[in-house]
Amino acid sequence: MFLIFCPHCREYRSEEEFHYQGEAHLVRPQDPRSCSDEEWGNYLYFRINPRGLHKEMWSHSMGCGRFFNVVRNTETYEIESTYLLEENSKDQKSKEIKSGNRTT
Amino acid sequence: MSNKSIKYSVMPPIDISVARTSSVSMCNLDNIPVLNNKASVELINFEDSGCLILRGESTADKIRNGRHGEDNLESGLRACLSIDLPIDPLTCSQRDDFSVWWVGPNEWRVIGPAAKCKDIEFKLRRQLRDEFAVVNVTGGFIHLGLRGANAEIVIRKSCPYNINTENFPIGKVVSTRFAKTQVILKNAQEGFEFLCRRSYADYLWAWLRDASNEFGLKISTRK
Repeated sequence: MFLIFCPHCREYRSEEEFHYQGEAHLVRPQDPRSCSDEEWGNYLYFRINPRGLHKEMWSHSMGCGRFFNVVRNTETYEIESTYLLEENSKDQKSKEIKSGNRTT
Repeated sequence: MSNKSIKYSVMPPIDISVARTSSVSMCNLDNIPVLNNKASVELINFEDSGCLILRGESTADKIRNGRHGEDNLESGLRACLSIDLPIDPLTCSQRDDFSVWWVGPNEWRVIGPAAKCKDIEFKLRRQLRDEFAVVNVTGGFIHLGLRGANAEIVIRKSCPYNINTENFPIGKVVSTRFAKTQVILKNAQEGFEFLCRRSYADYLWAWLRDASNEFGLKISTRK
């Protein structure tokens, strides 16, 4: 059992209260009608699978029920930080993430 | 129970003391001795409790919508119930027979006598403006209490949340996993209280009866 910090409840909670919800910071194309099949397909289906730090969305489904973002190391399962969806992720270790992902 | 008039607006109150079967395969209720009154765990069914869901703009929502500084929910709730809205996470506030529990950053539960909940629901609808939702979910939730010397151990068995006094002081409200269902658990002055989904009441009853078997369980009903 490990503990995850919920930024809404502002405390550490047991991992079993949470659910993984996929990659964070996906941006829907501004105009889906004018984007190419490849662009739309990438948005819809293709996800990064980094070795190292990964930004992902989690929900505190058995607690407050809200979504938030997590920076997690996929090698060690260590959670670096958690932050609210509306918070800008630029401050959140973006350098390491840029170097560590989109390799596969 | 059977000859009582039905007071709930949506569904009749569930009578936990006559639930016979359980969906918990590990727990055979027939083998558990008859309930006794010297038990050190007491399960209380607050059968007249009503519940409203109150949703509105959180502070973050307000900043996004450019309404920071205005209070809507706070003043509305004060006007209807003279209760201060618990803004801080995992807190609650109480006045007379009504209490407001924090559930999420823009969601609260208003708990009080079911008969008064309807009035409060309409009052709140009239009072509040902008973005809000008030829903009467009296029929959807049951309000239970667990008291007695060993109530704490029964909760420790069932729930991953750390209920040590320094982590879970009186007045704190957390929504967490309990057995295999979700409850909103509150440390009340006299013991623990929780709100659980009505459809899980039977399951929870079987679980609690099993979990408190070693201490004995006594059941009472409060208004």
